[in-house]
Amino acid sequence: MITTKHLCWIGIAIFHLTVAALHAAHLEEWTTHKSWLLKQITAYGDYTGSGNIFSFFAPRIGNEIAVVYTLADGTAQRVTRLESDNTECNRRIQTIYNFFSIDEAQSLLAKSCAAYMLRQNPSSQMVRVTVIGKRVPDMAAFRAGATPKWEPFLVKDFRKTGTKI
Amino acid sequence: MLTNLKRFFLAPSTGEPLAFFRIAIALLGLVQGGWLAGSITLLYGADGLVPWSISSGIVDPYMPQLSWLQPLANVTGMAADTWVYMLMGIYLCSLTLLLLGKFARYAAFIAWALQFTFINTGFMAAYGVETFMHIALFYCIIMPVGEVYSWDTFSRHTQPVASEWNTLSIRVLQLHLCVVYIASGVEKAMGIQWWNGEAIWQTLMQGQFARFDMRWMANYPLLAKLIGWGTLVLEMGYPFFIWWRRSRPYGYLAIVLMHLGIAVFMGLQLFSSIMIIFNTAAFGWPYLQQTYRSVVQPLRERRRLRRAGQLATQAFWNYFE
Repeated sequence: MITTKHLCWIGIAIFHLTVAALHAAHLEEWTTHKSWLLKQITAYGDYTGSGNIFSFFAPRIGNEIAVVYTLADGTAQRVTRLESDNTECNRRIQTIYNFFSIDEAQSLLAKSCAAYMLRQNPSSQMVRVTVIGKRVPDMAAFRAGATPKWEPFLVKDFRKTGTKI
Repeated sequence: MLTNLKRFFLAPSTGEPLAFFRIAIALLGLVQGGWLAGSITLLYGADGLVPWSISSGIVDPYMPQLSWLQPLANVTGMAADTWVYMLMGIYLCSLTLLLLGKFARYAAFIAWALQFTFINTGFMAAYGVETFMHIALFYCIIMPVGEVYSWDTFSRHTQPVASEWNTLSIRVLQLHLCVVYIASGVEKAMGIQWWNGEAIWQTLMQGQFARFDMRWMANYPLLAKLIGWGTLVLEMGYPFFIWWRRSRPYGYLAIVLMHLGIAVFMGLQLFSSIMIIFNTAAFGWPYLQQTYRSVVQPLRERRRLRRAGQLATQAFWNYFE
């Protein structure tokens, strides 16, 4: 015997899975106007985990991005990176650096990285943030002799002024 | 129609797969928390790599985030990062309770709320494992994950009870996984790199993923192409081969091997683990049980028999001496 309670829970399950499927199909990109209903569905998706898209490594693989910091204290300078032996932490730093591939994010992200480095190295007065991207040739070009190349695509200098950057 | 609906969603089953899901997810969360414990301020701190002043401006205001702690830090005079560490401690404690099955639903709720707060603040650093941890913790609140193998119900003599709510929960997990894989497969299929093998080559040549020197693969483009096609077939075909009972064990094994490959060759151990946990809870539990019964149990039995034989021989000699 199927009860009303059963039907309610099946209905909730179907609704939840429908929201998951709609988000996986990029529901939010279907329209530029965000209606009240869409906002509620988005909020539901955010809270319940049914609001994700699953474009892992798709549709193409982006270039690897790294950041090199040059710290200077007036008398000497040294080049450093943020990555350590902790691979899981490095993965997350890398995920943050991947936002450098978005033009609009570059300036703010560079400033935030610089601020972090200057806070971690209080004796330094200046930091140069050099963002580099790795260009991997395709397999045919690699066989023909081309090699992967690291190319800088953003260089920004930041200086301490009093307590601010 | 109602009968079919009932048979599909509500045919009673035991809660062992859900208990496995709870235990494995909590364990993975604890491993992840321990792994990142030394990097909390860098990733989530008020003045981290992406400070609260930036993340709070980007994340929707209705989403819980660590910057909400700032007034509390101001009032108490304690550093905001100290509060972050305290929240991380509570998160790990709640995962421990979830692991043990003590107050499982409440523990899951606290873990879900805190994990959501952390990933909203550190959204720029979050990747697949956070996405699936969030989904899993939400399911641990709603689903009856604490009915079996838990502190609350522990007894050596009680057998798992079959219930329709277990089946409904497993069905939701199964259907959600189908959505995940088909969406992921279709998105990959829209890029030429997955058809010509370049996606595999490009990924394995990136220092962030490469665990081995894979330059030799450029001489075998067909291999890269086959791995690319294999991934597309596995992901887009997932709902079909995993639902058909006869192909299910092979499909489950293939998807587990794919994730193991990702862990070994790309170093994404946590992500691979969480996907294997989801797949095992949703589809693989009977095969895991079968493997246990056909491989581990006979080995145990053999060891017990050998021990009994030794004891009997010893008793025999003692008797005649």
